[in-house]
Amino acid sequence: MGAMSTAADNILASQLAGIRLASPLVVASGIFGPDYAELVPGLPGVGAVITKTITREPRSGNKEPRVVETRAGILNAIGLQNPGVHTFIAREIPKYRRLDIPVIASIAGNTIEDYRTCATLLASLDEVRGIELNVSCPNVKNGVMFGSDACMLEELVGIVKGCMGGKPLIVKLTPNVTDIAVPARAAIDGGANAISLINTLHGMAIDVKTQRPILGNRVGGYSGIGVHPVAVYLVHRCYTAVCRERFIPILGLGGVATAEDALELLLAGATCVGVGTALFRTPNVCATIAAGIATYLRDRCEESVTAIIGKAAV
Amino acid sequence: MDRPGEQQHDGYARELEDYGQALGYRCRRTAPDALRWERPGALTVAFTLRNSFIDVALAATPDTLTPWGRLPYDRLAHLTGSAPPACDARDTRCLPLTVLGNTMLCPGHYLLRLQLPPEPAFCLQPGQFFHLACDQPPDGGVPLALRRPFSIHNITYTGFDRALLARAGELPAALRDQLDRQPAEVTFLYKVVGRGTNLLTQVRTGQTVDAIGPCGNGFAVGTERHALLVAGGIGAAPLVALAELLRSRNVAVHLYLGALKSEFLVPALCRPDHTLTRHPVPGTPEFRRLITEEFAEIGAAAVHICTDDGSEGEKGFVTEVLARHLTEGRLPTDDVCVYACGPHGMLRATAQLVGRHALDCRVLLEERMACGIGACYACTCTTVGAAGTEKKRVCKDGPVFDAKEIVWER
Repeated sequence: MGAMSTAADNILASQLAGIRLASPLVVASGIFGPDYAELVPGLPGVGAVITKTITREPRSGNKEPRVVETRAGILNAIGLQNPGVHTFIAREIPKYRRLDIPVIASIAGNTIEDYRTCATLLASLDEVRGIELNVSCPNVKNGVMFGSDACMLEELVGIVKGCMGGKPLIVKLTPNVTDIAVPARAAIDGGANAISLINTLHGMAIDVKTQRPILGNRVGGYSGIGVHPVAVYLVHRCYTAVCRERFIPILGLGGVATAEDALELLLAGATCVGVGTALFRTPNVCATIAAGIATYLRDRCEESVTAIIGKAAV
Repeated sequence: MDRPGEQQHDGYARELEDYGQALGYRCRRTAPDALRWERPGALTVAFTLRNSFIDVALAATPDTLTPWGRLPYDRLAHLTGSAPPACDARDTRCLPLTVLGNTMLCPGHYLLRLQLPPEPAFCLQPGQFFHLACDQPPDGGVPLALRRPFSIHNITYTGFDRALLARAGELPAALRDQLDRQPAEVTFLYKVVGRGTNLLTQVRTGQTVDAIGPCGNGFAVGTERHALLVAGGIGAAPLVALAELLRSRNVAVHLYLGALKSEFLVPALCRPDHTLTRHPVPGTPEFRRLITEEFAEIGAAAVHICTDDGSEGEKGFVTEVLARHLTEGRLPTDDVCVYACGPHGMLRATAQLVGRHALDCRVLLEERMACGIGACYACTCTTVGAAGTEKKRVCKDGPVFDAKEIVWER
């Protein structure tokens, strides 16, 4: 947890599929890169970071505008712009070494072969402690297909798991399905070591002056405080329906901006909590959230954050 | 640099004396650690040797010393040769800045003044921006999800007299370009366009604004002798600080200020300390005189004002007036750089125009942003280079780009 960690913070020590974290808070994919540590020295409160999603070939992303603020969050349609896995490994991965906290690489692809290539290359690096499989980006063609077709998902997870060299595989699920327990079960059957949810909800904003969609891609992914209750429900659903009995940890995320938001996800069944959109406004928000969680635990005489996981899942 | 001892001070003072004499100045030691360069008909340059830098002040008359900048000791050697530009650090920080003022200049246009901490000093370049949290939500209130980017409108330096910019030509070029100036205050001139800017108008003097900055690459001021600054509407705001930087390097500045109508010319006001007592009413002769005078004061070669509706200056688009002046041969064409900021259509027209006249041109782009530091890839633009087209980040790769690089059709 960087410079601010002390023995007293052991109360926040967590584990995500075997990766030891000084705090249960994880920087969600697509928000900040290695430069984040220059803005917030020491990254207080941060347990791990997930990289921007990487694909096998470079992607130029969607037409602008790619982001728009709404009343209770933001819509984005970046379209997974990234330099491709080879350039990413050459140029970006070395910068992550300075962070001194676990790094998880997020990957996506159009074909199983794409995923296999990315996972093999990234999992072989010392800097990468695990892989998050993005099978649910709403902003790319076929992006949600792997995530919403249980048979395809199970097959994909099984194949990717086989080229990870034993490192943990986290599968990120889309909320844009009828019952999230179905893809959750498929991911676990395929060999996922953890699941993360939720990715963004489908959303759209229209400029009433021009009578046109604001985003260049027309539709985008909705994130921020507005999605938080949806995330709490879906984490609860996955925990009670599948994850609890299969002993699979959940990385819960969606609209977390305060300690209370994070606690809700933990109580719903999440082992770790992702922070995303809130970082745009408040880059050091994880410090505040971590402090709030620690205070809550001490006030209740809990010795560890792990003691409250799933307590509300009745 | 460790603190130089008395002997070292003496050595540095001798170096400065030698260099001053080579440039034709008479050099006079005024104290063990201070000396002056004097020459009839030129500004007097006064050096005071401090612990880690040399204070440089200018005197228009022998009794009025005005601070100009600081020369770090390790740049003394650069004075005699060609050297890289002095201020090239990029150090983006996230910190609360105290509001010195947030006043309406005319309906819909506000000037926000933020105090900069003395240590560690900021290194600001015109064209860079700050990513500001625009609202002050009460405890437990819901903040805006995103910050808003604001270009630097002007930078003030402690004790600095901007009128000296008109006489920058009297300073030796190498000295001019090697000085650091420690900014005391940064101003942003903004137009209320939506939720964020609306909430920003509520910020009061003495409060703090949570700022990430400075962000992005500022204008790379080259070695050109003439600069044409072309602004559309609120796009004039970042060109004000640029005009002062160019004048400090003794570049001849020609301004082309365009707007829909007279009210929208307000961002061209230069002084960072405008108060309501000097509230200019757009469209009045006083207003136009104010804008022209403020640029004349720093030694701008010319100020051309035009509005789409003719309510101020010439009627027509700023790019049309510039095109005519270029065609009629009223402007220098050698050693010229064009700097432009404004709406997309205006920038595209400027880029086409300078392409026809084979002039260098740098444009400052705007786009909806999220992170502001180059991580999220929300604020991209399409560029073209040797390797084909590429989406670059306005916040990190820009916001200033070479006009030739931009693919304007969306």
